[in-house]
Amino acid sequence: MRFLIALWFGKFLNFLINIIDKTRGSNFSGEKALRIDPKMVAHFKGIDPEKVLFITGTNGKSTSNNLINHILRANGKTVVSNLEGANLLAGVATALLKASSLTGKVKADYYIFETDERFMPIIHSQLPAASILVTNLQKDQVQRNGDPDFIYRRVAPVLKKDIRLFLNNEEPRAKSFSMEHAKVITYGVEKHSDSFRKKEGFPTMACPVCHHSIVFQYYNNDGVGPFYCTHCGNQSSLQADYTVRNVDFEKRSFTVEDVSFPMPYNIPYMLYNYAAAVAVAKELAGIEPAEAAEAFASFRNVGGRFEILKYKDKTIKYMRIKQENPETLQTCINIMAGDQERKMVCLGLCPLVDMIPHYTNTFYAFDCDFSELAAGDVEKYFCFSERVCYDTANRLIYEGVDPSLISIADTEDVDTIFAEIEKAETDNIYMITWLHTYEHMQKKLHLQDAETGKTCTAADVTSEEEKTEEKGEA
Amino acid sequence: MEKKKLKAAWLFPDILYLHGERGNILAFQRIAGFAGAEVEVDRIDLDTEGFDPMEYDFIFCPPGEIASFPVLIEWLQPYREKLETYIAEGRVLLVTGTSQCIFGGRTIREDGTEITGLGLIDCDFKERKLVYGDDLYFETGYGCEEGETMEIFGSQIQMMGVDSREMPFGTLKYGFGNSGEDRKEGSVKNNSIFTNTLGPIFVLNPWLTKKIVVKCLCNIGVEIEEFDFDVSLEKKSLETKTVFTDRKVTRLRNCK
Repeated sequence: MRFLIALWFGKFLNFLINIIDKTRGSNFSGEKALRIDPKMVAHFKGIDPEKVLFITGTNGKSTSNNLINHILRANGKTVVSNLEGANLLAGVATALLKASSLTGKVKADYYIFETDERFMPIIHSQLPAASILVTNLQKDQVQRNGDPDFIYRRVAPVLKKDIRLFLNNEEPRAKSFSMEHAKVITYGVEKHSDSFRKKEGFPTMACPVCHHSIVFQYYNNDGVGPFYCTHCGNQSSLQADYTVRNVDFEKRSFTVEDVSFPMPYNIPYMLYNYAAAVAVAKELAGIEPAEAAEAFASFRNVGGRFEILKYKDKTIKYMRIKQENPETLQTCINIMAGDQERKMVCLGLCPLVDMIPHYTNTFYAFDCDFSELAAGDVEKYFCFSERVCYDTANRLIYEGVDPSLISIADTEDVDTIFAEIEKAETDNIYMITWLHTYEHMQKKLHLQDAETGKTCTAADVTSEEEKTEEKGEA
Repeated sequence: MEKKKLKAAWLFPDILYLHGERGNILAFQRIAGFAGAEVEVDRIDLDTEGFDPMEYDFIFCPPGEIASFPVLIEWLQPYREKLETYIAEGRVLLVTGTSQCIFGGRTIREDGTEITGLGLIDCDFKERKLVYGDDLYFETGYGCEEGETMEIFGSQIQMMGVDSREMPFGTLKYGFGNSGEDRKEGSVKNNSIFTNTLGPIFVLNPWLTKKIVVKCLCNIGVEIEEFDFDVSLEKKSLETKTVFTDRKVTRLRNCK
């Protein structure tokens, strides 16, 4: 009875949310309903655990979830999912609330949920997914997660059960789960033109199994690439079960199992999401790579990570990083370094305001290799953001950047940012900061355009984004 | 004039790989350079043979995952006496974050298991169930003239509570420090520092790095004249961050 009350209450909230503010619909009803029945996710009827997949890990959860959903739906499957990115128990509860009948029955071909790596065990205790995809377990959100082993210890007990695992072949922590596991499907990426090595002196990581050193032959993404442990048998397989090969960023294509795929986004880190999606489509839903390939052509990812803004004669290429996450910052640095044109680099690493207490951590920038960028054609650097702009500038100086090329502003005021951009001679502007500041910039431009009658509307921004979603540009 | 030379050991860089601590090595080299000294850095890892701490003027041990420590402690055990002498002779060892556990006594892990450290400092540790991340702001008299102190600012990602019977490295102005219950931050034994400060501490606080470079040079008999370099950027950083700290919402009560 408690479940039914929670269910009906949740549905009533969803009804109200639909009328009032649809943007609050991804988490709210589930959160409130769980207060009535804390185990309500376990009480939905009709869900076959064999049809449930969790997607967990540090980076790539949302994109993988979106792409897998897209492929399955394009091939006629019905899917219940938390596509809005609410990846805690409440987000899963909300998705099931929306998909269920008044008696709590859910009917779909597949149930695919992005799950926060820290909370995945709790969600799994209520919804025992038979398949779990682990994208990677890396440094992230240290204020709450501390170090990767903190998360590894929470995830590992769940994965040791009789679960089918989809594992990144080239990420040492994810791959280590294959050592004591029979039902494993691996996915990987072949070396490509944007694979890289870090300058000598950069640490790699400790093996999650024996705690000796991991050696990477090269990186496809930061912390991801063919590897071996210097002591135990934890290593990437020579060949993953599903491997993205023949990557051509110019022609925007790659192959998996000799099937040619269009590349919706020619950004190196997306390749692992592509490989994972092809593996899941085939193994979970029986969709052949050739059928999956057709769906790739029409895939559009969630927005906000790579965007283009036009400001006067400047093209501002915004790249969003996850704060405290060196892997995403390194990806952005590599993209900028890969652009041979003269450029201005705006770095707005900000204080962490995620939870109480807020704090001023920028140390993850020392995990990143700026040397290629610093050696490139950068007209000037602009370090902005309250409190940590000086530390950001200092990081660049430690990389050998001439201090006279660096300007600093202890603010996130968008007028100051635009004024500094205007001073640049180049029109090729790269911007790394958190979403909040970018949205303020976007809003300011839209207001300005509305006042002048000129159009740089959201639609224009999107179409520009579509045109320039190319390597080094988006 | 002959170039002054310092030798530094960087312990287990791949295994103790957290929080951008490579920056400390860069800062040590850079600031030693301002003093006219060249720094040779040896990476010490589990394959290194014949490690002799006494060959070094500065040893740096960055933070790592506690799960890695039993392997490292076992490897360091044969060198324990030499490390003890190294500390006793007033050479400089910098240990940051969780790696204090390697040099201390007992560490009780979250699951109840225990790790016994090298016992070189009188400290015990208890792994926390919840991580605590925050700014860390304190003053220390390390290397200063009598009655003088310097301000240190960094970040703290606290995975364990520290129960130290050693002299504190610093007195907190704000932050969790060793336990979140008093104003003690870190430990200092002779010239060796054991601190919760990440950041990396040498980059953000070049005035501390300078004191350490001077100590290292003194230890090899080089009387260093006063040397100056531009710290305006770091001073501005300290200034704006202390304002931020003064205004922040916090649940800490130890510095009220």
